[in-house]
Amino acid sequence: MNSFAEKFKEEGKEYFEKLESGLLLLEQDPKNFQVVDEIFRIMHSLKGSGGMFGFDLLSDVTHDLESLFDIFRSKKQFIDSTTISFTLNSIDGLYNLMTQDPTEEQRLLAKKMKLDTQKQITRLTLSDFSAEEEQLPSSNQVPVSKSNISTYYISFVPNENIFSNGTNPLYLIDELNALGECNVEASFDELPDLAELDTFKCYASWYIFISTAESVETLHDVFIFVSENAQIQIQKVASGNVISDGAVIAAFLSAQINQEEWVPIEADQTEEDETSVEILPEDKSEDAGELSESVPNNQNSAFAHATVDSIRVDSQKIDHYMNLVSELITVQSRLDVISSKIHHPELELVTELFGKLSRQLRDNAFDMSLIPLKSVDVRFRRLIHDLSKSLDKDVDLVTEGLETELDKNIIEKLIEPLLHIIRNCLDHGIESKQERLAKKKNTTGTILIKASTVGSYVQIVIEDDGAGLDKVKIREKAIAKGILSDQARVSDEEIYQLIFESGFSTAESVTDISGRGVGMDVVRRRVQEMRGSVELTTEKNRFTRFTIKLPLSLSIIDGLLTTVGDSFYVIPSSVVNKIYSVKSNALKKEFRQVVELEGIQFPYLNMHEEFDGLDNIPEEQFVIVVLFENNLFGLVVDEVIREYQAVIKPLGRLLKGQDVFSGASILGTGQLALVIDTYKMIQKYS
Amino acid sequence: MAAEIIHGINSYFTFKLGSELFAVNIGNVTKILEMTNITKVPNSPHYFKGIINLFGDVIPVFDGRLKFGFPEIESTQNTCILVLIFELQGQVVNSGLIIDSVEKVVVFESEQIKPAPTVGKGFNNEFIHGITTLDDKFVIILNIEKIFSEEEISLINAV
Amino acid sequence: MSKQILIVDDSESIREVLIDSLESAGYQIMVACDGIDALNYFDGRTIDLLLTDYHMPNLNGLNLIAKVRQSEMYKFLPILVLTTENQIEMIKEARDLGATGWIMKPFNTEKLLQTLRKVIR
Repeated sequence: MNSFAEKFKEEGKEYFEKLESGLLLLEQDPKNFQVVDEIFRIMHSLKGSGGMFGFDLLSDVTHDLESLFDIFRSKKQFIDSTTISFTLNSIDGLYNLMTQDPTEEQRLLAKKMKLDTQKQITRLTLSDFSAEEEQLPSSNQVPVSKSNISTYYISFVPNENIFSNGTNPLYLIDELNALGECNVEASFDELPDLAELDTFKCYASWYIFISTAESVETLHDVFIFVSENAQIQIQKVASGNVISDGAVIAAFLSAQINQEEWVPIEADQTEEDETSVEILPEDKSEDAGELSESVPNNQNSAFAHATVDSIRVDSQKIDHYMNLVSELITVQSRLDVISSKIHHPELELVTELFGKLSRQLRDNAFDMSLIPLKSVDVRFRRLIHDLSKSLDKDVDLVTEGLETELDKNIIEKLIEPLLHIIRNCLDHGIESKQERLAKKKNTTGTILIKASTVGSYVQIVIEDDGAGLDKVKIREKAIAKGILSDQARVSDEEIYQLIFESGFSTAESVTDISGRGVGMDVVRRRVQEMRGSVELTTEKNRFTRFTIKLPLSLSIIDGLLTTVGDSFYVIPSSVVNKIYSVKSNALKKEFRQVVELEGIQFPYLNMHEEFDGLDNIPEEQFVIVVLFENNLFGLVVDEVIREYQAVIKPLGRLLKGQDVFSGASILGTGQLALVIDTYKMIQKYS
Repeated sequence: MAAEIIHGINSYFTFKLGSELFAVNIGNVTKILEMTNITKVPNSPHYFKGIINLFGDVIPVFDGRLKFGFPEIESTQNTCILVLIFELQGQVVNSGLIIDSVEKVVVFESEQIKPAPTVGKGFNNEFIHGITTLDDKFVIILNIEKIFSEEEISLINAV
Repeated sequence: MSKQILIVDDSESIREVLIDSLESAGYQIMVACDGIDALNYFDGRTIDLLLTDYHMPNLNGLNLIAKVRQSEMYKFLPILVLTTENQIEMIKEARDLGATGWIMKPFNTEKLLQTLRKVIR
């Protein structure tokens, strides 16, 4: 049963995501009944499956949420923004209730959520309708139809020995179910301890609210065989169907408990009414486990995702697949080496074909682990929705190119930095409505998120039309914090880059939304860890634009294969600027280890010297000039062999501290080449 | 590599380093390899020999002799690499250890294993799970997790 | 698996009507003409419902019910008795002996099946 529960948890997460995006859609388009329907169906599924797999609290709360949405589904009302916000918050709560073993805290949370949902239901059922719909009569009255539906309360308490004449009480409940809409509750109050339990005795009793067009005699008839063997009580609660009317039910039950007389609520006969109340034979009896209605597949979904006709695959399986493909490529390159030595025409042909196929396979595997940015769109929207409400700013999100795909590992690492930038835009970028008005701007600010592929890079732009950055303020702050000397002549760009320095923030007060600007340096570091870059352009009072560039894959890079002594090293092509050949004695260590090439001076590291010592340095060496944060740096190697697609293998946890190398790559010969992390290498040696 | 640590066995794999007999629990041993070319990783501690390619995985290899303070010698026919699997900081880790020769697999019941002595023998006692005897010779049973412990990692980090 | 009903009645016509109605509703029928005959069926096989008349030679309905309720295996078997309007007192007796319910004669198929739904699914 455990694996079913796990599967349900996963399904649950997907449902939550669908709910979120549906709700956000409704905010823009509240009349979209398709979406309301879908939300209702999802709640229904969560309730049913949740109950089946033991997630009782979840099932309980979604039951009430389902009733809430029923109000909108039955088209009595259009959904309003309060409900949308409430439901969004509830989804967060539901995440917390995804457990089969609830703690006291979780129980309390569930209780609170149910109560709050009931309040929402009451609020909505008591308020006025929008003009199109019928008048809802004021508080104590109840919607009525022309057919003779009434709601009854039946209490069915069988005697202990009711089984001894072959009776099965559940069949009677089933029969009631066929007569109308029922709300059944079983009571096990009389159930003794296990030690005293007699399995041939009946300790259960049932309390049923039924809304039916049948007469009260018909209801009594159901119990005709057990009238001597049970206590049956049938009472009219109200005319019409009040089963979902929490207020009436609560009032009735409280009268029961207090043993007060109850006068059935009758409809106002003069009320003009066109509602035809549908009786949905909702199956709620004890023994019928509710199987979830299948949530319609993506093609019929009101809010179809970008991936239509997709199947769910465990991401570990994709990773494993990628690994296997990498192995295949490695083996293929070994075959290449052997084939080139043997010079057998048939072998060469087959090797070439094999090579083509493995490259296709690699591209295919690669493609599979790519997912579109659109998949995280909901997170952006949610953040903007929540923050714009709490900051009382009006913000529109415009997106472009979100079909652009990125390796899923990259997307996972990218989410937090992107969210942080957006938080910043909302907090510091977009001005308040008054400010914007004063600046003759539209009171609604715009945040633009644009993604595109540029070569083997993905570019993501986040731009807000807000206050822009004040370079004077930044400069002052930087000087005050000692990050910049007041004599330094720096370009505007360099000033803007300062906001990525740790410990920097120009916020007047520390807002807890984006914190002390602690985030920006983390953002840059994260992006650089992914071998990407982040740039900033801005214009005061007009806009601020963050441009993030990321290589398409973390684990396969284009590199330059080089040798130093007997060892192989791979340098990522993305950072390589130029390659020069030099005479090694020209590179004598001077006071400052700097080389001048084509009139430009820059620092360098002689890897041979550093790793292998001073022996055996070849006469001629190569300087590979790399670009690092707008600076040039030279890496000196013995030989440059060729361009090479490196599948990067991690060095393992034991070597975590070895940070100048980002991993190792297995060459066609089976030998290992160390892959250089240029960023870290330069940091260490300059 | 999809190997797993196997717990709860009392069979031990014994091997020689110098003149001493050592043992590790068989549940931690995944492979025994013949000595092969090891790719150096520059600027590492002297007992860290480098990395090897084991069926597509990159495995770090340590020199057992140097690790335990024995003088380094030339590899012989008997020198091999013991590939071990163990848990470190909650993750499963593979690592290789160069040993002088392979001995045999023996069962040691827990009663036979005495705790490590607090004096003598000159080793860092944390490495030692216990001491026992085999054919009148002392066998030092190693605590694999401690051999590649925090200390070692911070040493490597400091490089 | 369709449900198995044992019909016990000494009147052939009644038996035929019952067999007809119940078989077309998908039930599987076993038939006995009196109490003794009926008892032969209680040999460990599955019986989902016993439908019996009162007045029968050799062993009448009431005694049959009493005997069935004494057996370990069929203690909780649903039992319906066929009765006529003026045998109301018999109904009480039958219930005391453990009958689950009753079917009034004359009956039509619809009423029969409706009543059956109270005790068998």
